[in-house]
Amino acid sequence: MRRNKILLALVCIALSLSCVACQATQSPGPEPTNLSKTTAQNPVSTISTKTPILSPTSQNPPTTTSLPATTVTTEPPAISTPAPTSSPTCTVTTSEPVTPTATTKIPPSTTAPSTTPVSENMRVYFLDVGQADATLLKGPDFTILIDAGDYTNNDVVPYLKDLGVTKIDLLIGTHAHADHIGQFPQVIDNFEVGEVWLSGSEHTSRTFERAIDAILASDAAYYEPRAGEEFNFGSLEIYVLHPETLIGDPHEDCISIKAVYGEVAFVFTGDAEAPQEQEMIARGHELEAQILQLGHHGSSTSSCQPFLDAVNPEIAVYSAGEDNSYGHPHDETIDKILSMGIDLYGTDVHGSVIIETDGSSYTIDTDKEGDIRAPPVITTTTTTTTAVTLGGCEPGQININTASFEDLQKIIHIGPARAQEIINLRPFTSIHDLTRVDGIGPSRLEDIIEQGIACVGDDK
Amino acid sequence: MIEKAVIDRIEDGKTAVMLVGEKEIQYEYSADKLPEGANEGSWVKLTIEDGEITGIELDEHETAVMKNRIQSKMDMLRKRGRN
Repeated sequence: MRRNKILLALVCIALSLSCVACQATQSPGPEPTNLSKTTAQNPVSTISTKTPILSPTSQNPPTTTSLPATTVTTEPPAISTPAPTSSPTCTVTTSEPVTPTATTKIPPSTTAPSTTPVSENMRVYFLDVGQADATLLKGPDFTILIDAGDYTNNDVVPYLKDLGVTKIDLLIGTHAHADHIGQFPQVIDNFEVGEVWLSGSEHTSRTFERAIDAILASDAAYYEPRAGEEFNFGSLEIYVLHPETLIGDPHEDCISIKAVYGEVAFVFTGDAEAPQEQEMIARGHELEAQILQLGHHGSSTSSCQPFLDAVNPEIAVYSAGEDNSYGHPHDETIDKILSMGIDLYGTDVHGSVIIETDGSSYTIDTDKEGDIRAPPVITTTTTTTTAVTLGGCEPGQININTASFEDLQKIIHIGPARAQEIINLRPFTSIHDLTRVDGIGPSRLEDIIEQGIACVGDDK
Repeated sequence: MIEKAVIDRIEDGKTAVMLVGEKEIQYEYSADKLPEGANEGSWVKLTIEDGEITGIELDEHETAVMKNRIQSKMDMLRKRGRN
């Protein structure tokens, strides 16, 4: 188990250089963009123990990006009682293989992540933007923003200004939902943006339209990356993990990347869900990374066990708003992460989470102290209680947590494909949880309940 | 009051997040109650009384209009490329 990798006492050096070279190293796509080089600001060494580190309303002058250099403000999350590792909620099956149409584009597995020595530190800021995403990667020769907060707020630009951002080499909109591309117009209006990536999956909302209008009105280059492509933005390597092709659904087409700085790797999957995670595994990408941003704000629709196993992170971070309507992060996800001994950080609990790396090790700092604990129902209750919670099964009923592929198909609206998906998505905590299965909406769920043979029992 | 709205997303298959009216006020609505055929990206006409959604129907015309408009803008964007 690799934990407690938090190191102390790093002197931070904030260098702001614009992107030197942004080029595709593998895809046969367009020619590299040559971006102009600007003069670096003076290196600044700042030691600060003051919290909060970041605030969208902070009055700090935007000249330095200070990281407390003397203390680590959070303890690793406590694990009350080690819970058994949850059953996988998805598996890589052979019954519904992912079409390997672009395997030639995949970087060979022998291509090790960059071991390029890096001379300065990179900081990755998981900004506390409520129930939304905005993640800044700021290195000596690159500034990249992945998603730009929710359309109802105006917090991303103040954060970036506080952090001394003047130019953004790459702005990625992982997908078209308003909690990810919400503040694209403000960001594009306030900063020189070199290049914008969208998946190409279109939405019909005015929020999306305004984002498109802002890109069109700017001088930014535009690209739709595809799985298997590799890019260098200064000293950062980006491997595109998803999508391979477009389906037409924002989550299914979500841009997912692995960003490698020296020997330290981060995986960002936006709101990609378990089926997309499965596809990433099936395509053979090198997924292993020290830091994983949990997909879809920590929802149980993402972070399936095989994906967590493949990434095998030391640190997991999710972005979610306090007391959000959707229950993100879901207990099931928290339990899985903590059961694996992974340190967990969330913007709802910790505020902004900052990871600084010199390319070989990393430190973590947060706005606030806090522990994210495994849900008590899983760590402390007995099997009997759990069974009651689950509703239980009568003799003759089909337990969707344990039934065979064939038995599942006795349930109305469940054919081979959905039966397989049910098996992949286990465990289910209630019959209503069946809406996680593709194609099972409220009306089909009603039919299933009315039929009365499906039940939710213990998954053992 | 009748308001136009777009279904921005359906969270975890359960909660439809709608952006309502010119000001795009966010409403959350049970996905169970969406009209047949409604999905992410669908435009709908909402009846709102005292801040509550009391009626909802698909607006296929608006959906098609927006789809075409966005598509033509995306086509312009794609012509731009990386250079």
